[in-house]
Amino acid sequence: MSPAEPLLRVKGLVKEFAIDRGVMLRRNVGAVKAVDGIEFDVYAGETFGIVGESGSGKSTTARLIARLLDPTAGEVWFDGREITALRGRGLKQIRRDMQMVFQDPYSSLNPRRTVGSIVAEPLQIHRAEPDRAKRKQAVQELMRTVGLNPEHYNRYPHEFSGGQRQRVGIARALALRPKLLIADEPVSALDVSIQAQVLNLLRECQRELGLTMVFISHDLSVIRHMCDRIAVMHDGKIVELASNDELYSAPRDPYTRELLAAVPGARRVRERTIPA
Amino acid sequence: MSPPDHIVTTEAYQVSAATPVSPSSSPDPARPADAEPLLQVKDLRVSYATEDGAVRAVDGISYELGRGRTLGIVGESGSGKTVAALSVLGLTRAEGAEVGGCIEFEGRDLLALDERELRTVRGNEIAMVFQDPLSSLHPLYRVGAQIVEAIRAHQDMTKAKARARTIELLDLVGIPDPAKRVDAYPHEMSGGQRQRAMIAMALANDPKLLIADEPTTALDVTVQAQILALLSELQQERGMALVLVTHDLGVVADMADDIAVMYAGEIVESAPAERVFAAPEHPYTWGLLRSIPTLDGPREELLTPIPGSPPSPLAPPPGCRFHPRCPYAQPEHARTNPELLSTPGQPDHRVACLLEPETRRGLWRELA
Repeated sequence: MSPAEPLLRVKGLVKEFAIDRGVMLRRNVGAVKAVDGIEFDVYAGETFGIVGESGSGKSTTARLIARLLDPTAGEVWFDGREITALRGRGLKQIRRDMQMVFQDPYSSLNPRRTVGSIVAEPLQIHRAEPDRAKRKQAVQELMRTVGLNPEHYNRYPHEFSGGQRQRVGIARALALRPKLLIADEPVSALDVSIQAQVLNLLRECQRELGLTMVFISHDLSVIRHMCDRIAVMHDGKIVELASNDELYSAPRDPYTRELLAAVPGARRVRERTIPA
Repeated sequence: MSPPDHIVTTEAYQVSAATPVSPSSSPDPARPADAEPLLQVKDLRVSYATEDGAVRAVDGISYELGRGRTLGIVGESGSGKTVAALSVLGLTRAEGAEVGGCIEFEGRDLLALDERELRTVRGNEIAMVFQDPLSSLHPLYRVGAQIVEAIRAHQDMTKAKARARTIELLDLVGIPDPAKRVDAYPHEMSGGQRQRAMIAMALANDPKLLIADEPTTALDVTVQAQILALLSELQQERGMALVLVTHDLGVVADMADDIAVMYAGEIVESAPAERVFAAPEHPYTWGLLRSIPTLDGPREELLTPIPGSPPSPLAPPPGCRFHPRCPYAQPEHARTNPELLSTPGQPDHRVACLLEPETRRGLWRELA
């Protein structure tokens, strides 16, 4: 792959969900286009942001890229291959290089398994580290990387706070050294003081591991902090795609401007944070 | 509804000559009656018995609110901010909580009222709006009927008149085609419309005080801006006081005259809003301000998170409750829990911190 080739390429992607009516005689009465013909490229090493309100199609987009959903139309290219039709072994191979971090650290971790085995699971599935002792070592190293105490290997998710659980989710996602990390609202469920810890961790991991990241959020301030280029989604479409500087200094689309104007207090917080 | 606009809230904000804080509760005969605060909360303590022991959700907090003013109570989850506000309505009592202290509303101690007396205040003189309108509206009754019921619970009014009043209220809160929407069910409305309907219901009896607990947290950012603009418009028109409970510093920056920052069941800093942002004196407030990414701050640097996580309410740390996470903590801070005291030269600005005021101001100058 030449360096100018994008790591991820999304072409004319469409996802329709059927709308069914009726209890006894369910019938299809139409479809809603959650994602409506979007296109973008993500280059190696960058953080690509997708921002939008609920129902904009941003999370559906994440799931389409990760092949957790099948698109109605369009193509997803990853690392030079079209992955939209992959099945079985081909898909498994792609998933190794593409990992996801989810919003809710409470429901995305299996409560019956220790965090050690949760983080180790991808290594087992992909037979990346067949030796038990070495696997434990690798997991403890990952836990250390994300700021967890490696001695807590045998603890269960409920013994951890929300921020720590999100660290477990990140450690698991990083276990196979993926090329692409898709983070879908990774800090929305966290308190502000913890949110900053997780955002810093993601940035540091990205820098140190040379990760490419698709970062999805409804929060324009968080997106600005994290992303190099940003797509603004509205009603399933990308209404604006621009570099960070461009988007925040000279937004072009009226909807982007509306979103920016709606952020509460952002300007005032800064104005006031100048010492008297 | 016009596009969200910060001008409305800016105006509301500039009226912020802070209400003088009177340390004594005895009415001063030289002052007019309405200089007395509308709401005075003194040494409020709320604790719940759990299997693992007593949880002190709120542990000795005091605050007050003048007529027509807005107090923002800010804190993270578990800080006690919701309990601090809902106790005013006697809602924590129903949950079997033990409540101590004093909550004076227009000179009456609400904690001394029985449930029947309290019902004449709740929904009438004091109304509330919650985070999730879907769970606060009854799903099987038409929205209009629920508002009619709220009106008739406190006013002697015919059904027809109450219905006409309901349509007026829905119109006031910006619900389009109110004569028709009055018969809608909650599920037929969008999240923003439901929150507007909740606000209409809260306004039904022209309350003097509105308590809003995370009123916009479940909403999209553009809808949030509209609801906040609506709240401050209504407040200005009606001279209603507002207690706004939120985790979002941006929201209080836009809305509040005064801010109380809560941590682990206590108020750690309270001040007029502009001082909280320009000259905060508590290390926890600094931590909050520095950990949020902004729309125009520096982008390349890492954020400055607050290390660690909030303490368990079952076992708050001894001494200053923030000391385990405070970068400036001294050994003796683990022994003494600081009182909320006025900072020198600023009677309205109170801080619960064991550092010397001069030290605190110097530290903030370095950080900011």
